[in-house]
Amino acid sequence: MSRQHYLKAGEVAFSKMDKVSAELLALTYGSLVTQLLKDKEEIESVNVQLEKMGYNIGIRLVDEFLAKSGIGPCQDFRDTAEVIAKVALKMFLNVTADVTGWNSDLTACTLVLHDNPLNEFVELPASMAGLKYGELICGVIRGGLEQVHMRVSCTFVKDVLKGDDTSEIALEFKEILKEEFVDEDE
Amino acid sequence: MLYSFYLYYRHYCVYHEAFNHGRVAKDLRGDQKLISGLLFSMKSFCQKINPKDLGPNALGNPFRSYSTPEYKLHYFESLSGYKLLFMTDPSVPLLRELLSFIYGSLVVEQIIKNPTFDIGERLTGHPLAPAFSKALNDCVQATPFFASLPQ
Repeated sequence: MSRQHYLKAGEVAFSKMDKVSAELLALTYGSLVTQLLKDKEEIESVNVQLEKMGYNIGIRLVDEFLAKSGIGPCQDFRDTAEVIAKVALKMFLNVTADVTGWNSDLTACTLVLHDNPLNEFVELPASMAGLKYGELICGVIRGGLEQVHMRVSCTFVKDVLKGDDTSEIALEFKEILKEEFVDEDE
Repeated sequence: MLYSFYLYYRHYCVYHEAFNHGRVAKDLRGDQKLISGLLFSMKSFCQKINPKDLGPNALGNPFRSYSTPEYKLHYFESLSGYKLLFMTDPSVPLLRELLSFIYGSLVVEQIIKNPTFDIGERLTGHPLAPAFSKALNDCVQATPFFASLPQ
């Protein structure tokens, strides 16, 4: 399906969502990250924890996405990336992304975020250069896709908070998880 | 006439409810396992004999219903692996939209979005079950087929 179609679907899905003020979200998320930085000694383990929290959100959020967006099965991974960029991000964060930088096998791409509401009011000191501030979003994407039988890796590679021109998420397809029949008694 | 409702996650039944004093299953757990096996087999069967080639990565379950002279099974599956089904008498038209509504409005809103519920946990016996049961009953009793006599 076309990009235009997904943009439209994103608008429709966004209109169905309960809204919360962007400032409230940004400040709540900020205090979450600040607390994690206090609790953890290493910045890297904060990144891991944010990703894990995102994953646990993602495995629930995907159902709300499926129920409200009306998006059916994707034809291929390119389709999936467009749905995330144009429909899912729009629906939950009111932003869209451009999908660029495909590799030749069409298994890896980059999502260029036009805006990131989580970054509002945020300044990273130089000592926090290793922090992936918005990594929770990457966890949500990974968790959500895993529920629909797709294993991916996903992480921030560029961030305007660190002085880059854009915020970019690298998304790489790993494998389709086969649905297997499991007898729970065995 | 609606007889019963089942909710599966992946391959196991997480919730079951009978309506209209439907037959009390002699071996509910056995029935649930048989249904689970049927759904899995029907999915691969429907995909395999499809005259249109969908390729190896066809997602979603194309199976929708089957009926016998005595009853009909209505089926809806989300891409994320939640499976909802009704058993009704065979005169009831396909209730996929109702199942899809129950998924979107009850299962997602009341269960999946509730942090006290762990994904994959059984809903039967969970503190959220009574409220879900009430909402489910309100929802199905509003359909014109709920207690109509079999034709």
